Amino acid sequence: MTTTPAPTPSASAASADAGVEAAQAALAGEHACVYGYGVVGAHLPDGAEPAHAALAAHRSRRDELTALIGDAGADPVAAEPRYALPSPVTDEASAQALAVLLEERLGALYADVVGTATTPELREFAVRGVVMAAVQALAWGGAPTAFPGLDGRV
Amino acid sequence: MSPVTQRVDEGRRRLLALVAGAPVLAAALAACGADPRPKAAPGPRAPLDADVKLRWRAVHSEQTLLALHAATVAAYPDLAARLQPLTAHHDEHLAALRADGPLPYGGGDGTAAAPEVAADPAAALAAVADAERAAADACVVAALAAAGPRLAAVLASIAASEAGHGVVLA
Repeated sequence: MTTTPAPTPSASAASADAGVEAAQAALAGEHACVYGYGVVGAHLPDGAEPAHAALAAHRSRRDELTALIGDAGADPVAAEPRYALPSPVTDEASAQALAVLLEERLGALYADVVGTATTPELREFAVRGVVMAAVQALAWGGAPTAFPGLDGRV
Repeated sequence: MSPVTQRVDEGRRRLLALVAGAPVLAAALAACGADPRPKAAPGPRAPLDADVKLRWRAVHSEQTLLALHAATVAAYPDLAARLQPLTAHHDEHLAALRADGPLPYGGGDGTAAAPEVAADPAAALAAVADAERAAADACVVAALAAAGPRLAAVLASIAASEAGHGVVLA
């Protein structure tokens, strides 16, 4: 078994920075999802109930993550005034494809936080984020994969 | 560069930063490769490294799920089309967990004993879905306990995969 050298102060500061950076990226992803689900909902028939539920879930996750980042002593990133869409959303199918993409990318951002989180609270929030994003991606028509959030990185 | 191109690039940059998170992926890749790797399997009396224990249990869980998939398909060949893509995921999970270093007690080289399969295909499929969900919950707990960043991320991802199996089989 190998022994790990004790981290030097600069190394632990660097890993704390990586943890905050990853958490900020996930928060930016939650902001993007809140925006994105507004677009998704506008293109779904039947009152867009699933998009409203997803929007509420992401708003709540965004607020929790904002608080966790604040607790870590960092200044939580704000939402952009507007976002570019990866491809035009014009109908139900393209709206669902956007939802799948949002969840898959968010899952990857949370997987980054799992590895770098500096507190148990952040680690737990991120682990549940990876799981929730994978389940949501399937609900919007995504395909199951072996490594959600880490596809191509294992 | 024309102002129009610049605006497009700006929008693209924002999309990549916020939706794709491109810059962070590289950092996480580095973190993912950083777990200390045991050189040899500890002997029977050596105290086991906590992460090795987590990995050993996760390997055992994958073998149990693979045995359940195999027994279910053997009893109900019509379920093969539905289960086989998910079975392949468990093979990938197992390979990734084993690739991270040697494991004690033979490293779980064997396969799990054949489990009982329910008397009708719907109940058999429901039993697989239940087992997937239970395995996902155990993986969440293990991901919270893992010390190594790569193992934590891999266990979280396996938990997500198995939670997804529970959903698609329900």
